[in-house]
Amino acid sequence: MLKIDEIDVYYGDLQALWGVSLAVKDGEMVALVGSNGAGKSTLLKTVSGLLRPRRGSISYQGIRIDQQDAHKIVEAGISMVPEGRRLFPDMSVLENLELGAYLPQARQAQQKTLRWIYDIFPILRERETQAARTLSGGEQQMLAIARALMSQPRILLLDEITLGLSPLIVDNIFEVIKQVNKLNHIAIFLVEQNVVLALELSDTAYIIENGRIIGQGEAKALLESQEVKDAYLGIAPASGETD
Amino acid sequence: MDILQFAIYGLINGALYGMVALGLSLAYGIMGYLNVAQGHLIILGAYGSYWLFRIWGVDPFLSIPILMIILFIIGIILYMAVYSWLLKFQVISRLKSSLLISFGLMLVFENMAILLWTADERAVTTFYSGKVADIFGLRLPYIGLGTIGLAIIVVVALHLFLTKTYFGKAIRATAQDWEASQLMGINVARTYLVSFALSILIAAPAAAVISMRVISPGIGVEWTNYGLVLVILAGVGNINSILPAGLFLGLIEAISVYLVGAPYTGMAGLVVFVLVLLFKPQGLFKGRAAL
Repeated sequence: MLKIDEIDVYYGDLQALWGVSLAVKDGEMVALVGSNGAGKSTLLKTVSGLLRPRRGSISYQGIRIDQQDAHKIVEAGISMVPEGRRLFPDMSVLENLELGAYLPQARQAQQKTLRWIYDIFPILRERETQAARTLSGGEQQMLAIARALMSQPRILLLDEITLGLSPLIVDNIFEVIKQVNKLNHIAIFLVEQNVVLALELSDTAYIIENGRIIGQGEAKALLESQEVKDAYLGIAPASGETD
Repeated sequence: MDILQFAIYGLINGALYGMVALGLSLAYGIMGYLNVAQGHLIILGAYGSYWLFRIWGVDPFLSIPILMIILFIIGIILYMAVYSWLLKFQVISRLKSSLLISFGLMLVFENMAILLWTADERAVTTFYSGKVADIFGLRLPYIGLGTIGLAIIVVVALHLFLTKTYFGKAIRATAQDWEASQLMGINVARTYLVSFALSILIAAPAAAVISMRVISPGIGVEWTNYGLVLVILAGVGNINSILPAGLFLGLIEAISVYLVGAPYTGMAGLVVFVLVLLFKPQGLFKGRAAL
């Protein structure tokens, strides 16, 4: 289980998160929703080790990880799909996937993991030798997710993966995410502006506003709550903008 | 026939320029460091080759592996002592700070070399120095042939290392997006350390060749100049084009010597440099950066 306990995170002197606590149980799908600039990406960056909390703790399977380097956190089994995909643009699809399996254990299982990846994203096999920058937006997002899965994570962190994609591709990608979660028992912690979609898919959800968690509970229940309806559903587009 | 002979000398020089510039291009392409002390480090390596020859009679070509180890260690020490601190900065500050730091190092190395070995010019003279192979009336110096051979070996070996090995791929990934690289489990701090040391040790063959030409404490900056010109000609970070750019520059120089005479050798290179900066600042060679 991933446990975040009362963390404060700063960018320089600017405080971005205020006493945030949440938990992701093994095999669970958890959503963190909130508007732009609420602190969602900051939280994911902190979990993955790109930022450090000034106060509070983050632990995974009972071990503190909040002061560890990002590459150690991948080793612990937490893998992130960063906002904006952050692929290696001049490297081939296959090279991007190989880098996902950079760590020794993942490298050993690379061929097996790769076959699984090509099963769930067949288009990537076709694009294998192309440079990542030549892929379409949807394909790039698939590659970013596939690359994160190559490290054989126990938890997958997804930062705004629907941003800028067409509804059809978003459905396609979330089919795979659900499958990965249910069949492979990889816990999913996703951060979304697309509140409806995120709440429909997840087991548990948290709502973040101005760097503070202002609501939490069963995702389906939150979807029905008047508070969420008022705050988000009026303005949230049904499923992302078009490509 | 005469111009062909000049062209051969130009290609030999060009191969050496290429080997000198590789390390500069690597450090800049991977980390955003502009290490203008590179030429002086090469001269230190050349002194190493000189003394290995003088004391133990080691042939300069055979001294290359030893020089690689020495330069690798110097690279590690330099990186840990002065360059690792720059990583927390944005790329543009890394460039400026590394320029200042390496300029300081340049002065230190130069004066150190004068103190240790005096300002005299020296060179290794082997039994094959000055000997040439004669093919259809063209004179091919053995050392020159060795230089071209070394340049090809170095470029191919570097290419294979960067594209076929896991660590090489990690280096390229780090050059493209160091933050995302961390998310792959890549230890970026270590990757930078090794990359910097690599950018120094890769100059070992150039150092060995230069030791057979002429070495003095003051000529480091000339080699750095050649390196910088090539980095621009090839396109910044485009290490695959460094050797072609070197050969191109060597040829231009040779042709200018043929046409207007030897005193203007250095001029020709600088004129090309300025023209490229004016009209094609992205570099002469097509294709994207290999890093």
